[in-house]
Amino acid sequence: MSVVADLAGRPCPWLASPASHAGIVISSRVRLARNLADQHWPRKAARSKQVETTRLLLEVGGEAIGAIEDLRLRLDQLTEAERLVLFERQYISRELVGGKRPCGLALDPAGACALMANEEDHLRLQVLRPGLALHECLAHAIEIDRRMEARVAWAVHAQYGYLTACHTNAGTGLRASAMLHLPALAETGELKSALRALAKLNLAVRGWHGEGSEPAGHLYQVSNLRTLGRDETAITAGVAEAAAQLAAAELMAREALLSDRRIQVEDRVWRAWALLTHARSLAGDELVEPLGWLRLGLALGVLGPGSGGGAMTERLAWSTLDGIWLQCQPGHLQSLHGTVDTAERDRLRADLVRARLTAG
Amino acid sequence: MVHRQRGFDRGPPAPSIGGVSSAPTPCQLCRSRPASLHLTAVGADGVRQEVHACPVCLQQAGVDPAAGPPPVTALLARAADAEPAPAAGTESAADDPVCPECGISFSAYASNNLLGCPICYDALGERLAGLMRRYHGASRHRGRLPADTAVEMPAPAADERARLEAELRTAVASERYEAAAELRDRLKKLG
Repeated sequence: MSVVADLAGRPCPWLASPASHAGIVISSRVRLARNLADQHWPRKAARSKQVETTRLLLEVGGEAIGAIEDLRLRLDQLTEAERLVLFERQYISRELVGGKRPCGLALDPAGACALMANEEDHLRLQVLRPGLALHECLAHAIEIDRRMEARVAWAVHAQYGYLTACHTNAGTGLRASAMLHLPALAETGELKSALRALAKLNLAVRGWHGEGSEPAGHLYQVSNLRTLGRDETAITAGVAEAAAQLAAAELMAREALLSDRRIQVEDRVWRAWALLTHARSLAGDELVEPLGWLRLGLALGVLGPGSGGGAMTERLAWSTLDGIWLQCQPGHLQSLHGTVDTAERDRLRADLVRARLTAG
Repeated sequence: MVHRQRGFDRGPPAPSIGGVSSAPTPCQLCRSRPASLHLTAVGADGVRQEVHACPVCLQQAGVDPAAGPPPVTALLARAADAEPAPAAGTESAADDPVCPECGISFSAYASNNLLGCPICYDALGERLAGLMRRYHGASRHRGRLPADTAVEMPAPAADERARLEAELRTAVASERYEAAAELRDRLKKLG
């Protein structure tokens, strides 16, 4: 079994609901972008140079995070299904799924640190944690950066700080983000005004797979836009504060829903339960929204221990929902069950969801 | 005025085997990110105008395409306020600087948003500096640097106070009261 196939069968360390804020803040991520001082950057580098920098950064970065040899991967030498698994686990960006150029990934044994080599920049260093833990992520990322700085020279400018291939990342090279589940704010119509307020604070809100996607299942990623002019702690604090305030607003909206529209909420949750425990075929985009309703149902006590909804629903656990969300994505299904066409994959997905939700 | 909203792109296509993505049209407002809204407006006089905007700029402009036809005039005005690109064929060396190390020109950068080497930041001069100021609202790095870098980046006392106050708010909000007490003491020492 390949290293990535083995990874696909395991839980994901940064996905450990309910984590914090009643499962509203799902995960935190801090990313630092860096480039080598004496090299052309990925867009302009010759292929032989790209191979060399990938090898160098996998060695130096892998050592900095304690990655074993098997987890220092040349992504362009993996299958697309394997790269999809890594993308679905948020270890690599969508750009690297195509595998068109030499690029790499180093993963620490805990699965909490992921270093991408030769993406848009030479290095994208990421630290992920469950729940709201941005300052811990930042501290860990800076520690890794310091270890790497002892061995390589980053491109740094007297005025602009760390230099990056796109000017929108220059300065700190820092992108701090939190992933949140906000179904109640969406249902009460308060989400739009909340997101507009974030835009005024120069914070970006995107769908759960980051840049370029639309929100699915009421999953949102909040991150800083600007990376220059404030230090790393201030930038991270801004995102953390926004995430905490959004979580507080979502909690209040959930209380309001239970108070004013309990029957409608329970109806949505139970309809989602009925669909997922009975469907024989489920496309990926048919799963996300009902799964979101089950998350909300578990958080509100409509499902889960003590809910009084019956033996099957009383056994429902957060880890079950996390596992379904992760392992029913296309790359995971393909990796765990072999290459299948879309119809077969949709059938497998439905079988997996039914089995997990109704397990004794 | 007739609006034709061409393909509100729902982000990059899902990965597919052998798929190749083409270079995206840049947003006219920030000239940085790829545009996802492509709007063509035809006036009563038959004059066509196009606006290309990214989700971030639309969000900052308070525009929700799902809520109805976007305000083309307002978006065009915002785009006009952005740094104008040189008209085709009229660029001078000063208008379109080129990096002597990797050969990337400012116009090439503005169309696909990727620089080629560290020298680009100085070589592309005021054109790039202007993009940096408009995007970041700042022009100087305030964060950490590698330990052995000779560059000095002093942190003014006001910045230090603001940073500690932000950390204190976050610590209180996340119930890290020990950390909050330490931050409160450091703020007292600043005076």
